[in-house]
Amino acid sequence: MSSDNSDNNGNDPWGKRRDDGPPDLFDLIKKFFVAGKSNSGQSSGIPDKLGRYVGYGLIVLVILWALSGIFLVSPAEEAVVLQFGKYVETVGPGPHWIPRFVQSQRTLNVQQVSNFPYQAEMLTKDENIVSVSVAVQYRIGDPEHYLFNVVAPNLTLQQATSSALRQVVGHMTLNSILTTGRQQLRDGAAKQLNEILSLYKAGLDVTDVTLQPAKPPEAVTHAFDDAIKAREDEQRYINQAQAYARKVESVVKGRVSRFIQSATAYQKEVVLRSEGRTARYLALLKPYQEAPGVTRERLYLDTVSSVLSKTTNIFVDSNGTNVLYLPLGQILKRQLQRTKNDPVSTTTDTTPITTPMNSDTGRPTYSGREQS
Amino acid sequence: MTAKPMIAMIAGILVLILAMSSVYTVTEGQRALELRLGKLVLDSKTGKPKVVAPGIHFKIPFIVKVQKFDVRLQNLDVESSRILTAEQKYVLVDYYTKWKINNLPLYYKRTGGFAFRAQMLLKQKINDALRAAFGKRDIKEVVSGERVNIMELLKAKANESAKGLGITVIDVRIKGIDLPKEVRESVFQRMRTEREQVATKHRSQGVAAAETVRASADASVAVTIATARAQAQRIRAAGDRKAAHIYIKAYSKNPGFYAFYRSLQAYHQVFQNKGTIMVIKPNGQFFKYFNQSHAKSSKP
Repeated sequence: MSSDNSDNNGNDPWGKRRDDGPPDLFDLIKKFFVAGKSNSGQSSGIPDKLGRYVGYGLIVLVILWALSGIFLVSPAEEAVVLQFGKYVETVGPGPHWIPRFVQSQRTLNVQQVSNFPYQAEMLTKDENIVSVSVAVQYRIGDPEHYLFNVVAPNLTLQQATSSALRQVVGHMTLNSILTTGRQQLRDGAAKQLNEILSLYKAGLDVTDVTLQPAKPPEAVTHAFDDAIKAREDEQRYINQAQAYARKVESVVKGRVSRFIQSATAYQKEVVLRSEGRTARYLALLKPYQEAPGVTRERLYLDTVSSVLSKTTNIFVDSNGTNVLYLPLGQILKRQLQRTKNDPVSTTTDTTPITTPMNSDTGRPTYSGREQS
Repeated sequence: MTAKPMIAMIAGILVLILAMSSVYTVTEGQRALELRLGKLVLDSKTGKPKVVAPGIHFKIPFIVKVQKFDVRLQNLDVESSRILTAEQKYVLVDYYTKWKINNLPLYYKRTGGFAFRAQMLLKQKINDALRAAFGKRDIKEVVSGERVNIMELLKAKANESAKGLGITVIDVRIKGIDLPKEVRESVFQRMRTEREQVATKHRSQGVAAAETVRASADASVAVTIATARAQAQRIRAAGDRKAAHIYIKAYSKNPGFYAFYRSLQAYHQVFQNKGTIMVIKPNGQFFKYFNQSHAKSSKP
């Protein structure tokens, strides 16, 4: 700017009054570009216009620069502010402004939970192999640490998970992992993982570690399942045997009761029969005692007549020593034939005093056989 | 007249370039070293090489160059080859190590700023230590009881070398110890066999217990039946006894008449049908009147 301002009615070359307050930006820029020109007050058209356009342009740039410094942090986010690369602060949700190029920002979602599933077969304390499946839920806990402490923080978490899990599994036996040790495994792995991450200061928070039930490796699942099935089989065999025992015992009860009942019935029967028969006898005894001869005669004649009318009779009345030929075989055959053809005529009408008795038991003969 | 603004503009651009070359920024997580014509610029206060922290800094343009380094926790993943244990068994070991620069000038001197050089040296050192540690122990110790100790040992060994490189090893962790494929198969076989033994044991136990229960039930049943049979026999016998007494009581009132009565019954029973042939002489009481109307001898 020329220091030699010719006095132009007290105005500067632009025609403004010198004491009109601080020169505005527009003027300054214009001044800068039009420096060295003649101060005749007569500004030539082209440089003046250029200066004006450039001035306008610069103003627009400044406005753009100002606007670009505005950024919005969502409710789930936080932003890290750096000044020339150096950490300044971490800001929370809401609108913020930073001077671009001087300061920069990186926005991160600190509430979104990421899920890392990990499944592998690994060695146990007793040199067996088990298949373990775990899922780690995590999110960014400290944006500054997350960005500037560790290279590849997410990968780091995955490595740490694998290491922590395998370490805990390596201290437990297969049986314990598969059955009673689930909680212990889960808690141990979570604790170890957190220890590692806090050592690294990776800026990640582990929100949850969930453990799926551990399984034997695929190659041996069949054998493991069969062992479980064998336990069930063992119980089943015993249950079946117990059911058999119960059934057999209840069947026996029935048989026992039948034995006893049958014996009791027999007992009653036999006694009643004996009473009945003896009653009959005693009934006959009475008339016999009153008139023995007559009673005897009567009974005798009744019996013999009844008997002889049933049998095949051959009366032989001989006193001599003649030999008599009796074709008994033929006679018998003929008689039996007659019996077959005409049962009516050969049966005799008997009115025996007593019914035919079985001499052994003293009981009437029945056609059926009795069971004892 | 028109040259002046042009010169001014060119001058302005040159100034800008100069300015840009004399200013640089270091981001958080980085540090920088200044090199003047290949030699490290020293900090005027300490006389040691200047380590530049994050922020904006100024330097002599063009003559001084800046090299930036990532000073965050670095990662080295190693998938190891087979390692022999004390029992002459092979295992496959994966591990990772976390290290970072703690003496930047020394680090630069030793590695020229190439991280992979540091990684190489670290890896070698740790591998050697790993083989030595595993070679003295068996699988059980390595997987379980001595696991943490080994990791500490590796870290200590690694730091021995690390010091000379201007880095520090924060952690060495075994990611996994696995068995080689052939060995896995034999482990599976062992696991299967163990399970099969358990299964067989349970099943045979079950069968034996079931047999016992069945046999016991059968025995108890046999005893119950025998007892019942005996009791039934006794009941029958009692009946028979009583009946016999009744008969005796009645029939012994007049044995003579009883003999007669009983004989008549016997005749009824025995001579029943046409199959019996009687060959009789018609004499006897029945035929008393057969030949003549009055009897020769009279019998009561």
